[in-house]
Amino acid sequence: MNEEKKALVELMLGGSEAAFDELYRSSSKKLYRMAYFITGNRSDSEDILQETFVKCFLHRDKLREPERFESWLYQILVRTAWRMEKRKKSRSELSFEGILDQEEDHVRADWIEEDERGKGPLVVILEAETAGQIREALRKLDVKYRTVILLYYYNELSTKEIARVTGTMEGTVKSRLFKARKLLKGILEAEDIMEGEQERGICHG
Amino acid sequence: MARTSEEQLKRFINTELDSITPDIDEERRLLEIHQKLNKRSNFMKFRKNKFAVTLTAMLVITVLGTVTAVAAGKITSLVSGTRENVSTLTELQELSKGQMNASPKFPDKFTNGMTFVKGGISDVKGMDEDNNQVITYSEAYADYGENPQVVLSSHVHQDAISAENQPGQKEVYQDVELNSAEMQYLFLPEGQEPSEEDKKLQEEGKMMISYGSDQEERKLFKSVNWSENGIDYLLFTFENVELNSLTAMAKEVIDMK
Repeated sequence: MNEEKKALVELMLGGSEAAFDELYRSSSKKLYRMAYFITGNRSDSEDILQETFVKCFLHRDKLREPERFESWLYQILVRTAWRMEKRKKSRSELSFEGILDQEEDHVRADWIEEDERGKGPLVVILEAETAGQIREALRKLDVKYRTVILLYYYNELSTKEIARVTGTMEGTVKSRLFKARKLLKGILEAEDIMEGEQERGICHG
Repeated sequence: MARTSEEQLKRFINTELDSITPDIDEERRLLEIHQKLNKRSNFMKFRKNKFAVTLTAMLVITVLGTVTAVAAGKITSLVSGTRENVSTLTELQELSKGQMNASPKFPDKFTNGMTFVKGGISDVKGMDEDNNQVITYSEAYADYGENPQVVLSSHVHQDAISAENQPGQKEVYQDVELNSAEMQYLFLPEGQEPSEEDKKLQEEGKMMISYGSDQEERKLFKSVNWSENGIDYLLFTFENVELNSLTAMAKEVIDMK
């Protein structure tokens, strides 16, 4: 955390609403995306984000070390999201609009556009198909596994930090990460092989 | 290969997430967060300290403005945060003088046996419906009895907060008009819908519904308020203290020189 942000956190801890607003502005998009990754639902993500910041300000006295602000915020968000998912599950409202469905065409278009700059069309198509498979696999993962994947790959937290954020043992985090990775990487590795074969085919052809 | 897939996975997740943009405007959401905070912080302080001054502020609005809803300004809510707590009356008097530029009266003990326990000064902000701060002032408060049973709060009179048309019974004592009132309070968890009957009571101005509690709670709020030498006083309780006892206590404060 840089000094400027640390100063803002300290001001917020002292009750400054202006500092709170600045912290919100600098992190709300990332937190929204995190909530969306966990829930797969835009409306729920809005609620989770709002609740995360409300709790952040109301319970600011619980944050002892300003340097831990970000992971503390992640902790609030993850637990709020889990609680919401649990409530929905109990009402049998399983929802994962997916990062996909409504987004799918758009995301896939971005994916292809980006890849077209450096790769051949066949590889682009294969990767787009892989992306679809990963989305599908993520959609099927339990919310706790999805969260670990998110915190590890998107937030780049260590397993120890993830354990703190999710309130679980580090061993549990490692096990969830291992299982989720195995599933997802299996998909990628299978595609890698195909990709390699295609490239060789093109070379020799 | 394992390394490649690790990087691909990371790239995939980042690409996916970075393409997502919230539907709601950032500033609009921030406004909603502040509105929620205002509502919740009132209740949080009430939970921590049954008669915290924040609640005083909220109740002033409710009791004084049920009909006119703080008519003079466009204030729709009052939010306050305790700035400083003290445990002696001398300290409270010094704080009031220094921070309010006024010397409100706080007795050490009432004849019914209730004694001063602790007090404090808080900053109160009056917000309009768009959550803009319209006024700000300091408020002194003192807790009496166990729990405490009764709270006496005071602040320099604010023109933006109208006391006209307030409900309750009026009585003149020593040339000071006292207004005593009772109000049903219903505290509900966030998102819980009040019953049709409760909604009707609220519309009729007979009930105040506040959100943000862990569970449904009903309480009877009793208060006496008056104005003396440019200072507004409010004496209130949620406990088993009769309204006439509260009025008698108010008269003791008025009798103080």
